[in-house]
Amino acid sequence: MSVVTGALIPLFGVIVFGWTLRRSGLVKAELWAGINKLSYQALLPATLFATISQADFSQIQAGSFLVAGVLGFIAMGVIALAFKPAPIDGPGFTSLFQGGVRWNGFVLLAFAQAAFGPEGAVLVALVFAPTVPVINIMCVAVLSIWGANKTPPNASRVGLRIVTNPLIIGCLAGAAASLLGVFQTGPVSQTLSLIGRAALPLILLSIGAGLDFSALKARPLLLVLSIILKLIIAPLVFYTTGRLLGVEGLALTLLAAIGSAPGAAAAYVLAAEMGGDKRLIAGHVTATTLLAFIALPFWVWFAAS
Amino acid sequence: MSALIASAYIPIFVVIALGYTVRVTGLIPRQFWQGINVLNHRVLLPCFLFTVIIKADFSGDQPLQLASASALSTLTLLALAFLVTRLMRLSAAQSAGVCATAVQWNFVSTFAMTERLAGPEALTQSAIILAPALILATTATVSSFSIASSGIGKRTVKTVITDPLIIAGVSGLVLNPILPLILPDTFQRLLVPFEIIGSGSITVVLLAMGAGLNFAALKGKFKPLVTAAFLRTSAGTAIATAYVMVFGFSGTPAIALILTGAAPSAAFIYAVAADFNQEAELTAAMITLSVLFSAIATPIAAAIALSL
Repeated sequence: MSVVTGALIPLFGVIVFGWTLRRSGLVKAELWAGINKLSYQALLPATLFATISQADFSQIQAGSFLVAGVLGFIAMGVIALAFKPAPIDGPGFTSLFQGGVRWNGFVLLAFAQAAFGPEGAVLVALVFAPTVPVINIMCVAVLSIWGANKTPPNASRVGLRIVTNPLIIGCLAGAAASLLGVFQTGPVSQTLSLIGRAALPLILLSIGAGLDFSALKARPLLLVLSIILKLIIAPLVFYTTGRLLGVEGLALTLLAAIGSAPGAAAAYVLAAEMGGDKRLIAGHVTATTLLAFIALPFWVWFAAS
Repeated sequence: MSALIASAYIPIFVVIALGYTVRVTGLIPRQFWQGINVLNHRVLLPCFLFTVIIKADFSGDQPLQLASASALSTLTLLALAFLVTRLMRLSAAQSAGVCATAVQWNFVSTFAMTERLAGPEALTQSAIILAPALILATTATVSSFSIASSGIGKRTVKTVITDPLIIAGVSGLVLNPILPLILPDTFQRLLVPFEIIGSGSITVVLLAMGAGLNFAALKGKFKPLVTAAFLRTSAGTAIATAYVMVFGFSGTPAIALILTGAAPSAAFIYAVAADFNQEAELTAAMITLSVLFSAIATPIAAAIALSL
């Protein structure tokens, strides 16, 4: 069994377990909101901070990698926009767009740590900071134009949401701590590592609990298109962008992996708020989460070879 | 020694404080914590418990003696705690909190302390001490809160035997000698998802405990609060020391066992109290105070253990 598959199997095992917990009623559906909130508001930012602040950047070539990552997401936004002239209703298109550009960074963070060790985890963690605002701005813009919700978004409120996003704060604080050489050992570091340790299991279980197999029946053609965008076109785009910028080795492999990461549940929240097609995005997240078990190892192998 | 205790206990206090802050600031309001407590009690902790017990090495004579000493320590402390709660005429819920706090010790910080004092090889013995203590103490914890919730009867028996923590502990014990034999190559790989899930349990419980702290609700409950913490750390140390002398242990086994007597309470008791809705806030405070008492008791326990 390859290292990549060996790293993926337990992660998907936990995701399936999360689905089982909700389906069986052992942890009822209505209880997951608190678990999600704790994971995304507190635990994951702590993980990002701990991972980035303790990284040895003298051994990691991050500059081109980050630029390629940001450009990859922008390129996917442009490609997704190219489908607008097709006969797709507005809400459906916004979900297609979100499906093409959003990624489940948490699954990839866990995978990178397991398959490639701390260096892999640091590179993936670093991608969060510049890409979270870019992705959110693109998605909010598209939804405000084509979403069913007729109330236009408040620009300052959107801006505030972005700058106070805990993930971005965690990344930037971690980078600052690393640059200043503080909190890399000692009680603060130990405390943050203790907090961050809970992020992975809770997020994986939440992903599983959020899988909605009934949504796979929603708009099959559009669903298939969104899967192709996410798991075939996106990895190629990220890989190509990386090659053009001279990224190589582990960083290039991770770019392909970022492209083939499953869809993000955050897309559902925004679709619900701003009038996107919720069922389609739920189906997209479910399908790409399951298919990533095949897509991720393939694209990692492709990029590495 | 003080630096060692600080490095082991400060993160615990900080995470508890963080949980409290997250709740009172409204970042994660009170109503969201129920799901977190349920997940911890029914999923995260059982996975952690299962993986710890299934990997413990019980082969040989001394492990059986050590396991026996651990079991007897737990039962003696439980009997003492029960007697004290009867003498103090505490309510069923408060008694449950006192008994659970007294017998259930925090193995994460204890393991860390034991390793620092006696070396990594001591962890094998710590795991042996943990297995029977954890099963007995968890049974006592779940039983006492269940009795407080619905009285003594068939319902309580059913609740206890179907509790995920009990199932995890007993499963781990039963499968401990079997699984490595029938699945020698895949045994470790099969455990990985459980280890991933269980790895989050301690942090989540500490956060949930902090979120559950309600200082206003402690008014008039000073006696059970202090009694629980005292039983856990002081009576616990005395009882563990007594059994070390009865069984004639010295060196590493003595250190490993005596340190459990001074250990703070296991934070996951809070998850059980919250799930049964029985004096969860008081239980959170008992556990927190036990951490403070333990910081004082541990150097004394260590000195006793090292002198044997």
